[in-house]
Amino acid sequence: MSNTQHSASSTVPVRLGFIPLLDAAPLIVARELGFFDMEGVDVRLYRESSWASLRDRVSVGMLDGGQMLGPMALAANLGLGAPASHLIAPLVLSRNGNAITARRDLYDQLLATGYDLSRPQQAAQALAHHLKQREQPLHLGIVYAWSSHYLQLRDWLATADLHPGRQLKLVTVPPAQMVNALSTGDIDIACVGEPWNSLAEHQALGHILVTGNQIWQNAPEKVLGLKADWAEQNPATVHCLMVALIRACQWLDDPQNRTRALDILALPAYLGQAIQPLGEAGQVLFHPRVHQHFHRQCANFPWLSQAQWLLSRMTAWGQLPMDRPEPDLQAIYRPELYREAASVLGLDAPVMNFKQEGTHDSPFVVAGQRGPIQVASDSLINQRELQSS
Amino acid sequence: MSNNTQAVRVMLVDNEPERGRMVHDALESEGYQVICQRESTVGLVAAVAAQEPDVVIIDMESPDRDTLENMATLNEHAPRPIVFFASEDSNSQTIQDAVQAGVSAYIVDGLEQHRVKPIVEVAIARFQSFQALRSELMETRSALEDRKVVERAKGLVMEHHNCSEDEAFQTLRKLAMDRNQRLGQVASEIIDILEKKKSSTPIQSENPDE
Repeated sequence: MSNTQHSASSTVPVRLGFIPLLDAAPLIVARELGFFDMEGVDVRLYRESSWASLRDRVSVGMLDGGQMLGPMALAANLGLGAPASHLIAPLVLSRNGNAITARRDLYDQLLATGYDLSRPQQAAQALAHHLKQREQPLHLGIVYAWSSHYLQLRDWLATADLHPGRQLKLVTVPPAQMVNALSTGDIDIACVGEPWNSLAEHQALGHILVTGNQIWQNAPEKVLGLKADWAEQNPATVHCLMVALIRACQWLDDPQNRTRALDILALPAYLGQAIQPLGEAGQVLFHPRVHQHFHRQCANFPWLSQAQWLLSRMTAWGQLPMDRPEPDLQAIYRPELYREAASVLGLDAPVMNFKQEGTHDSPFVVAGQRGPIQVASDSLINQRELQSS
Repeated sequence: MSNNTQAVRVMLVDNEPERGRMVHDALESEGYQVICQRESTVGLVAAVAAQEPDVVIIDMESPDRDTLENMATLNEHAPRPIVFFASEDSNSQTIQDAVQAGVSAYIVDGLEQHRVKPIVEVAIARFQSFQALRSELMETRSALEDRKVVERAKGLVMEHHNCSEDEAFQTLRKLAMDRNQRLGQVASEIIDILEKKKSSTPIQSENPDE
């Protein structure tokens, strides 16, 4: 019952990798609710233990693609950190979803500084104040360098002129070990994607200090990354995958589906029983402060301006040489593939590929192919600084 | 200089003890100095800093791969920069073979390719033979399970069709060939169907083998 003109005639299964995080949900839901089947694509999902292994398996063709971090997809194309591997990222899978969580006792000490912790700049000031009085270094847990969490963390710290170093030590911790590292005291602050901030709060080990959404409002988080030569050889399959995933993202944004989504994600092959607490204490799956969503206000559209923005932050934090020419972003983000997939679902898409990133404090309207469409706000914590530089 | 393998220090991170030992022994017999490191995030960073290996061989299933990549990228803890083992590009046969076998390698920046390649190749070979051993074991195990299922299905067919053991077996075999399925698969489907029938028609006699 495919309602698309294309059909994925090939019977060869598509192999997609994912990391057990809440924003793997679009892939998991599309498979479990039969959205892939409806489009005639047979998808096998593979749980990976590290971003590095997911990337390498795609790069040698053991996987055709998967859930990827925005900066990671760009880094792979540029050959940063590993041999260059040409990927396309035609669809954004999720928006927001990260947070910076302080260990309970540290949070109380920051609260005692008198700064208003509900405002991200003030929270950074509180941390700076605390560091001045502290003799021991603070340990800050991060997940992966080529990620929005890391870039968001640096942008947030910079508002109080803080940088990792002797007093603020970075420690890499895999997401699934983050809560445990907070409890053993190996780290004082965790910068990680959901569900791990929620779970740290649930166990009363920590408290969310700042969310990614307070640093880069409504930032694209994970993308669908596909091996470019595979995508080129299988255009109909790519189209069908995208249609199924947009449908899964729509489904996930409907609050009525939260309990069902939690049950699916808690299956042993995906995130497992560890996420059961997300259904307790009034929270259903998504933390109210994190504003994690998947579809509304054009979330899935791959704005080229967002890719440029990520590159600019990677350059700002030394991951990319200043003089490096910009890669051909249109060959990576592929907004035209999104428009095609959206249209078979009766969804409109922006006519332009760029927007003025960081200049919208509230939702705004852009020209769509059929009429005006609403796009989410996108203000940035360091906008003033960026404009003055 | 190229034959001086003693100078190359290899750190091995593998949570599969048996495989780790295979790689360790193979590398040592080639004259390399091998340091074995068990998986542990905090421990790994400290160990790399303290031991200063020239090469780190790490199991692709280890979540600590991202830890090593961060050391390389952020340069926060690395006394000497460590880079992903990259010979020219991702199409190189060694990288293809390594990823297929589940081996990844990081080297100290500046270490010559020709000194690294044989180390990675030893690891790939051991990972492959470990994998072969393991899948052989799995096959043996599933063959045993298949045999049990086939016996049980045979009994049900004999009872249901009132035929000989040989006829029952031929029926199963023909079904498997027609459907292009494994004998074990067909057998378990037959059990499902005949058991259901049995429970809905309780007049059938009990299977004497039960």
